[in-house]
Amino acid sequence: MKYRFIFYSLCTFLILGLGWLTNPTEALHFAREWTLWYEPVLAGMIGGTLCALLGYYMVLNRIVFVSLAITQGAGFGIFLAFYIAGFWGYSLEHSPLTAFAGFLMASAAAFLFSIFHRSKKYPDEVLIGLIYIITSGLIIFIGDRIAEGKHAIDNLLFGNAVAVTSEALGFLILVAGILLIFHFIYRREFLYVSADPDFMKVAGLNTSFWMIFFYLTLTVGITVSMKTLGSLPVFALMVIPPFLSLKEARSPMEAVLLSLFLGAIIPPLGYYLSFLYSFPTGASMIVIGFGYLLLSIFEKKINRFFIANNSSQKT
Amino acid sequence: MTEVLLKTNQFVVGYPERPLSSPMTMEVPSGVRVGIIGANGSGKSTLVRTLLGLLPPLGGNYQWAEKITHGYVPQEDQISSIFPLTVMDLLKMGGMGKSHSEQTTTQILEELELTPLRKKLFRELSRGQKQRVLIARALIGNPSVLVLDEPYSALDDLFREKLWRLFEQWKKQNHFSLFLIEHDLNRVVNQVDWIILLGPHGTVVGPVSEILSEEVLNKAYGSKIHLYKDNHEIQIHFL
Repeated sequence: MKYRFIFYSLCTFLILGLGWLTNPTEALHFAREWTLWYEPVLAGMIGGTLCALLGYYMVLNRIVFVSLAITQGAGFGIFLAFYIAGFWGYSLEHSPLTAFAGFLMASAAAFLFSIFHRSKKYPDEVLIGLIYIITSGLIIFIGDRIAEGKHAIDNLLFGNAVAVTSEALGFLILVAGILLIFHFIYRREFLYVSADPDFMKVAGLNTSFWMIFFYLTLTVGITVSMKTLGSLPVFALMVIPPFLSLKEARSPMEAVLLSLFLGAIIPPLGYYLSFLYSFPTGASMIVIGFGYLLLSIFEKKINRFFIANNSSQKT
Repeated sequence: MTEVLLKTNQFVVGYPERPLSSPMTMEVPSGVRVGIIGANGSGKSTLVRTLLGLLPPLGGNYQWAEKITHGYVPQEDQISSIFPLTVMDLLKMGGMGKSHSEQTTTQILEELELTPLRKKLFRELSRGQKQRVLIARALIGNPSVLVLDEPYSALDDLFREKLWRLFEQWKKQNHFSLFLIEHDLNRVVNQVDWIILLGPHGTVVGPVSEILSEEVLNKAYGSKIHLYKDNHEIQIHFL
């Protein structure tokens, strides 16, 4: 397990070093202006960690695109709240009501999916596609008429926001903390129900309860993360770290820890890249994730080299 | 009086607009070995999955005796290859929420020749090894009813025989009932006490000694069958 952590830590230093070498002035500036950036970077780390944890179960349950539909549902809820408040002459830009509206719509998307899924009349992909495309269309449709306008749409969808208020950060820490504790306490239930729900049901576990509980944590986690990171980076962080961690994992614990590690470091590196070359923040996070994906090609070979060296030293 | 393990009344399994069995009314006594036989697509796995509560019945009802616990070995492993679960993780899954000793785990691992594989990843095992792990997982919780969906399909002849002897031995020690789905008609009729036969022309249920006749089998399968019995073995041939 430790070789994988060493490998991905080295990748992190490589990315940091490349940034430093190619643009030392801005890299130094980034380090010196740390006090200006620490809140969004910290929010990114916490949101990324949360997404990586939820994404781990999402990948294991083979419901990657369900989360995309839920993410868009949450986005639509947030915009609907903006629209309704604007209609009555209020602004909700920093209000927690928007997160609540996002949660309601994300839950509605998850509920709609579960109803259609149970009826087994249509393939899941069609339903996920419908929910995704309708909510995406409605976001742009309503977004055109809200006071916050295109800027807010870009922030929410593509994660271009670079400012996070202390209240928003506090709320994110609180929610992420609660979800992480729940997932730690009930890690076996979540893992076993994901692995073989039929067996666990026969063994007497209430699998429906645990799946609903999982979807609830997924919906809450997505809603609070996307307010900070944006829809696209949230989806990327739910897929890339779990995929990288599960690819060569030898135990569930190793996979979770590596997923959390990658989820925590990709967003700050995204901010770093965005700062150095003035790229959009959300897209920068995805590019960093892609960078790790490319570097992971060498993971197996390097790990084998480490293990072979270690065993030859022992003998 | 023998205790009733499973009671069904006009019980039908299948999928909406596609029933797979005729109505079954039966009382299966506790402690018996039940063989579920039938052709491909006859609904053997659907019957078992319905009785285990994984699918709703199409009609009628069923009731297990009180305080029954099930151990289930599915036909194919449901665990995606992306899961980094070891053999020991699978056994922990089987023992979750149930009291079982370290000694029981060691004994099951040894009897199923899994001890050298305990730290191996499940996804890296052969089909036969995986099947043995799934059987161990079902046994670890000490179930009162063990349900096996074609447990021999990936095992070699030697291990099939060994496994059957182990079932008999465990059954004596732990007093569980056994539900066994099996393709091989000749094998199963010689190993079980009760039969549920899902034939293309009807469902037959009852003790082997009572229902196993050429007339009943001919009717259930809709084709001519020759039944040969000597003192120790039953042989069935489709003509």
